[in-house]
Parts: sequence; C-alpha cells; structure tokens
Amino acid sequence: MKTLTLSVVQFNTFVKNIFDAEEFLHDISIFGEVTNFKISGANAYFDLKDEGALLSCVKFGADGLNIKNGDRVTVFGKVNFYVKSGRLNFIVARAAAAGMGDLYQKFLELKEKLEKQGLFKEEIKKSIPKFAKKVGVVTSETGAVIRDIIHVARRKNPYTDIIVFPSKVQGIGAEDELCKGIEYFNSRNDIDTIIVARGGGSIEDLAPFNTEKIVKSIYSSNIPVISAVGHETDFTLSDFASDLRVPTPSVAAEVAFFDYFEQLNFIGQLAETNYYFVSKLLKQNQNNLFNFQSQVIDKTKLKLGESKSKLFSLVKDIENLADKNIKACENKINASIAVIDKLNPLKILKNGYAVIQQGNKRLNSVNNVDVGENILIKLCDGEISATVTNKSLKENNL
Amino acid sequence: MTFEEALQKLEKIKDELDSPEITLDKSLSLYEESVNYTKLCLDLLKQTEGKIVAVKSEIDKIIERPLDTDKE
Repeated sequence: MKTLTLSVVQFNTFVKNIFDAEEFLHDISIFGEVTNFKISGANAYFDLKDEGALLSCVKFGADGLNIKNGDRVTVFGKVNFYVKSGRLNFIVARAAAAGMGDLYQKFLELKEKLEKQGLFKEEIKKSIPKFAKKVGVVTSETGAVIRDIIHVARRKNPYTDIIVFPSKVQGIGAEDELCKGIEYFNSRNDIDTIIVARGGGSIEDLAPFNTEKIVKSIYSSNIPVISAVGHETDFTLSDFASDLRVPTPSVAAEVAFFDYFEQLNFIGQLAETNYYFVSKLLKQNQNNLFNFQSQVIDKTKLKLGESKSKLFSLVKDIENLADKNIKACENKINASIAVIDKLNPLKILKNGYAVIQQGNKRLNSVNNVDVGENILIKLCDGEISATVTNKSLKENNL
Repeated sequence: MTFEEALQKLEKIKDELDSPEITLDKSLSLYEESVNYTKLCLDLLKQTEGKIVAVKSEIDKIIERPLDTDKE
C-alpha cells in the first residue's frame, strides 16, 4: 500500500480528529494514583499513574480540587490531543478521591513490617564519630547535592578525606547501586562515617530509599550512616534505618565533618593553660623548697644559739661557785690566822713579858731559884745576864 | 662525747660545787674538769656552725631564689 507523506501539522491534526471523533473518549473516568501534583497559575497539573502507565492531567481552575500526591483518585473528563505539541493529556472536569495512593500504602506497610523486625530501634543506632578522618558519600556524582556536601565540608575542614561512591539516586538499578556503595565503604577499614544523600523529589523518585534492600544494607553497616534524602519534610525508610537522619545534605556535612580550625584553636588554648598551670606548680614547688630550706637553717641557727647560751650560763655558774668556795676557804684561813696570831709568844714578849732561864731550865716559879744565882733574861729583842739579889713569894698565888 | 653529754657533765660539776661540804682540793679539781668540758662544748659548737654555713652554700648553688609567679 502506498504510504502517504504528510506534514507534521497535517499528521497531528489527523490524530487529533481521531481522538475528537471517538465519543467514548469525550466523557470518561479514569482511576489511578496522583503524582507530580503542582499548581501553576489558576490550574492544577498532575500525573495519574498505576503500575503500567502514566497519564498527564490538567484541571483548569484548581479550586475545589482536593487531591495530593499519593491519592488514589477517579478523574472525570476528556482526553485532549494538542496539535501544536503533539502531546496528549486528560482534561479533568472533576476528581473523586478513593483513599491513599498505592505507593504510599505500600510504604506504610513496609515500614511497619521492618519496624516489627526491629530494624529501626533507637538502641542499635550508632553515634556519629566526632572526629572523622575519612567520610564516604553515596550519591550522584553530578548535581547540587555532592557540591553542597563538599562545599560545607571543606569550609569546616580542609583535611578530612571525602570519598564519593557515585550512584544513581532514582530509577531502575538505583537501590542496587546505593547498597553497593554502602557495602563498598564497609569493605574498607578506613571509613569513619557514611553519608547517603539525594535531593528532593516525588515519592517515585525517592523509591529506592524506601526499599527493604536499602534498609537491610544500612542496618548491616558497621559504619555509622547519615541519611540526607529528599526535602526537609520527606521521610524515607532509609531515614528510619540510618544512625542519624538530617533534613538536607548540607546538614549532613555539618554533622559529619568537624571544624578543624576550631579544634586547632581549642588545642592551642589547652596547651597554653597547661603550660600556665605546670609553670605555676613548678614555681610553687620551688618556693616551698626554698622556704623549707630557709626554715631548717633558721631553726638550726636558733638551736645553736640556745646551746651557746646554755653553755655560757653553766660555765658562769661554775666559775661563781668555784670562786665562792675559794673565798669561803680564805675566810676560814684568815679567821685561824687571827686566832693564832693572838697566841704568838713573840707578840707576848713584845708587850714587855720576858722568859727567864737558869741554865737550860726555864724559870716559872720563885722557888726554883736562890738569891745570888745567875739567871738569863730573854726579851723580844735580846738577852740580859743577871744575878738574883732578892726574891719574895706572892700571896694568893694565882 | 656529744654536746649534750658534756653539758650534762658541767651540770653535775655545778651541783657538786654547790654542796656545802666540799673541800678546797675537790673544788679546784672540779673546776679544772669543767674547763676541759667547756673547751669540748665550744669546739662542737664551732663545728656545727661551720657545717651550717657549708650546707647553706651548697643549697644556694642549686636553688636560685624563685621568681614571683605573677612576673613572667
């Protein structure tokens, strides 16, 4: 059959006519899960999805449309094919919610199951090392996330090693790559902390971080894992499984990397304080020793002085006593001399008394001599020879 | 003999000299004894003084006078 060659406009118009002609498509209802919902101007734009397919939807005039991502809804409206863009979408007249979105439901069920298995328990969470030397990052090697992490990390610390394991962070194969990253860092023996990160996205985008596989991988990690996934308000299963959940990749870097310059400063201050205290202690000890030595010398000098005093006092006493004794003897001697002196015969002679001898005999009576006999009269200064001329006896001889 | 022992001997001599019955002879011999002990004491005191000076100068060589901790 001969193929017809048309212009694009012609072709698109042809297709549009087919759609417009199909009555069935003028008023139809479709059931699916809301995703990628956004409001632009007065209109709401979202996709309707299920396991097998995706359909773009628009509602002109978004008031009254109470739906959000994850909602399972039935939309009523008609299909529209745009000639200009060659795209098809569904113009929603109204929508009716039909409970929670499938994906979100599955998320809750898995969360409960894994929680029951004890994989999210607080007690098993490890603390994040304060002073990591090497940090492993599992994330996309392109994009804002890794840039932010490196920027914050390097601002705080120029020296801590950052090792990036590049990984898909959405789509097919992402969960495998993420797990490989975590396992790779665990296979090394030099990684202190792991950061698993990705930026914001829809619940589908974040799906790899909501798998049992990644939860088990984080659970099995011997190295602490920081999870920084999605927007601040997103919570994924990897967040629950990790040792620390942070709202953004920048915060992950703040936590994982220590401030090098702050630590340097702190160490410097510590060293100064130590030096001051040791110095002070040393000087105190020197002072104590010096004072002690002074005291000992002073005490010894004092003792010496006391001993001298004792000695001199004693010697003085002895001298005084000896002196006293000698004086006492002198006095005794002088007394005796005085007595003896009184009895000295020469003294008596001096007083005019004489000793009279006849021959060898000393005369002490008139009866012992006769008149006419020669006598010798001894005076104190000589002798006189004499003859007795007369004698008489005294009466009342005494 | 130690300083204290010699000092004690001198005390005894003093007490003996103080007694009323002592003879002149004994006084003089005791006094002579006391002179010997006194000499001994003075020698010992001089030795002690010398040691103090020697030790102090040894220590002074090792320990300088410590600085005030407020000054640097």
